Amino acid sequence: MEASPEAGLQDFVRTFIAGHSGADDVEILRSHRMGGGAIQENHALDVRIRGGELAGEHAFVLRTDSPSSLPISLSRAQEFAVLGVAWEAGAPVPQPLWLHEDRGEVGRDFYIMRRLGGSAAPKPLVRGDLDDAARSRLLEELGAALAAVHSVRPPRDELAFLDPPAARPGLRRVEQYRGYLDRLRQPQPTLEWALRWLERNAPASGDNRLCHGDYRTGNYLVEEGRLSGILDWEFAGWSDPAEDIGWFCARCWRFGAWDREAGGLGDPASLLRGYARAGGTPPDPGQIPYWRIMATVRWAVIALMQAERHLSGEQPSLELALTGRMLPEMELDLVQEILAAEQGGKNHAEQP
Amino acid sequence: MQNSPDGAELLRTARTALLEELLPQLPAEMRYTTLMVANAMAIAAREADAGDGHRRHEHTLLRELLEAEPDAGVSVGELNRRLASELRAGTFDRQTVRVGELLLEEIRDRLRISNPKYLKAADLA
Repeated sequence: MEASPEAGLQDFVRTFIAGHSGADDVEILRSHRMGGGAIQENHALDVRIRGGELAGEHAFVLRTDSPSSLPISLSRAQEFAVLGVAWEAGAPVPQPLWLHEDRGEVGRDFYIMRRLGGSAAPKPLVRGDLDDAARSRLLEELGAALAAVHSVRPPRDELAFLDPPAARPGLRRVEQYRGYLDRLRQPQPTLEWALRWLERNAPASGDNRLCHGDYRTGNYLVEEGRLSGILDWEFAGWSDPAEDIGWFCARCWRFGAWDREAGGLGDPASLLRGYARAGGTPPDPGQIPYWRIMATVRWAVIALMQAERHLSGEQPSLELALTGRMLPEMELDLVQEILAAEQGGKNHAEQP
Repeated sequence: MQNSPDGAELLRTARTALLEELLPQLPAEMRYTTLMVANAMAIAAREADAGDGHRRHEHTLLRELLEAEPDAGVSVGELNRRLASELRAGTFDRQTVRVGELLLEEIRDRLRISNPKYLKAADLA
């Protein structure tokens, strides 16, 4: 059964927690593998600690690598450092507790963080459960949380492993995504067309901030309609803050509620209002379409890479294969978005 | 001689059996995988129905875009490679809208096979 960390790991984890918390004894009351995450494994641990500074019962999460991880994401040690910085900046994240960097003891790195309540499932948020007012309030909380993350400016010693800030983050992305396309077997004219547009329309310069890199419905926890925490930090990096907002607003993350642009919840204005109330300077709303288009290209590139893992025989999987067949959906989004932006630009130019 | 029923018809019949007879008997945790299997079968059936019409349409569109000779004997793959590289190099910078509209036609062909509902949602069915 794959439900909980294997026995050897459990014994190691008990000693590990005891060592870090100064406990006499640690008992694992319950553990199970949590859903979500093809790249990482999350195990819920309920523990009883006797003695030491954390004596009592606690709900933890142990996060570790799964056998197939993407080379473009952060390692667990790096993710632990990012989580620590976000926690200190006041963002609602699970408090990171201790990191294990493996030297052969259990075969992989892991870290332990506190477990937050709530669910990350998109469907209840987007299709039911919440009314318009509750969704709008949730968007404001998501905006405020993002402002806290974006308050972190480079450089930071603890985050020295991140790629340095780019003078023009949009152009850096164009270069990265072209690099990924060059490694795949088929030419992709629609993506090349979109990337050329993104190259020619890249914002002149951007103030780099700590960006989450995967900020979207499905990656945050909601409990009783309120935001309880932001998850999945493995794509964090220095970038233009508008990139996180564009990703959040892309059609592919609206879970069918296309008319509610911000994450299938509502109007981006609510997100930006919460952002400003929390003391952030919200990105210019006029930049959101650019970063939505960038987000769609990124999702298309990820889908192609996932399909390639199936096609190459590295990881035969129906889910990965079907993800490859989603490509034309993203291509359609790209064409509609770029044609709309071009149309808007023309109308604007025709104004006297 | 053509096999009858053909592959597409077999897939559709098998998919109906999967969804109507097997799915109700399967444990809840198998539902997601079963629906993925049904989706894959539906895509494969639509693809078999479409035949090579899409490929020929793509060839025509690519030649139109690249203003290539109609009977130059160049493959779709080669035309796609040429188009991708010219787009990256900026050859079509003054024709963003025209290229987008032609690309959209080919994308619609693929979506009719892989997800016709998406076309409807985008008002392009």
